[in-house]
Amino acid sequence: MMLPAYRIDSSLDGFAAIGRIYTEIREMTSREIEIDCQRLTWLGANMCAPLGAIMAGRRPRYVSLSENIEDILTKNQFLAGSRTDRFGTTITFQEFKRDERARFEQYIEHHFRGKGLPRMTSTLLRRFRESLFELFENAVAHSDTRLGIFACGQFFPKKNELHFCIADRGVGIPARVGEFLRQTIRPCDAIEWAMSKQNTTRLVQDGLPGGLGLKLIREFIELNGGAIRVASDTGYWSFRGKTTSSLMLPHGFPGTAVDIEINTADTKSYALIDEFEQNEIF
Amino acid sequence: MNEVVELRSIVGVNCVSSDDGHGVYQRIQRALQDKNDITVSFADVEDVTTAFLNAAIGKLYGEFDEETIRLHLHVTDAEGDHRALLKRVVDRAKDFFKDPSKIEAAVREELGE
Repeated sequence: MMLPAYRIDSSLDGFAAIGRIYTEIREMTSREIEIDCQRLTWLGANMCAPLGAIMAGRRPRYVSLSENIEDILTKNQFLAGSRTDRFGTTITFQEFKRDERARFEQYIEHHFRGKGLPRMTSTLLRRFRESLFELFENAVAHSDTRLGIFACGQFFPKKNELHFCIADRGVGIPARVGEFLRQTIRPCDAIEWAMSKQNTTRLVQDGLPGGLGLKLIREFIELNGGAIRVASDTGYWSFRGKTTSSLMLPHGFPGTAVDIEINTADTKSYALIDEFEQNEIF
Repeated sequence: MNEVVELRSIVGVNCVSSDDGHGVYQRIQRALQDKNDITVSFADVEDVTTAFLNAAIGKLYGEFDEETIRLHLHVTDAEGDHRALLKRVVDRAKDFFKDPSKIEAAVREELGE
């Protein structure tokens, strides 16, 4: 198939392109798919996570890739082969099963502690790592994915931006929220609902209180001046500054992809500002 | 008797998964059932998630009353951030277990039902 896009980046258009590719391949019976990428001029490396997710269970072969894109996708291990990441800007593409929490921890440790990529204040780096752990736990708890959880990132040093995306092939937020609310809800409104206040479908799932993780990530990203983008089914939701945007994708993403972007030059302290007495926790 | 649960020893520097949280929950649960004191030490812990804290501590509020938890469960060596996160999880759990229908009602109100 001919890849139907010129750019696949962290945006509505980028996720729309991924959704369109999925629509074109989902009826194909062969596991082997040849993807002609001659039109593609830009692929944000973090978007390898949703791209890898829609290809789960298949063996795609990407042909006619530009030299630059092939170089990046080989460095981040989306494509087979080995190339040195001289500038230390790559966070490799990895696929995890739901029970591979320990391997996900090792992955995060490798990229965001031991190697210290990129340079950030220790509190920023910690909040970022904790956000990624929350997202992974969310995918494990809510998605019911049998086709894995996919992660990939990219650091853009000139812009002081770090992009990281986690995607799963689970039931998706709209289905989960619709089931919980016992009503049909527009996919983009379902994502808005899940990202708001302390909403959680976990109220009815396993008797565990929940709903704080995404709220904290949103608080953190707002303070940092970064962005969050979520694609799930035909819903697309994004947040930057104080502005949220809820839109519909023309072709749905078969699961949930959460892309977060942070400003790595930020030097705020990120201490939670709640005030209470030491003995008042319980 | 005061049992000390060193998170660094039994979980590691990353207290992030609900599975690990469940293991800690079981230790605390046993102590509270026996009316023994138990202290959870956050010494040398670095990354903590609400997923872990909900499973380890938030869930206790579904089984024990606030007074029992306040009397027997203690936390030590927690940095300000971790304490603040734990406080949010605890407050959320108290609200939830006091009246889950209240939270559901609030959710529905938000949707304009």
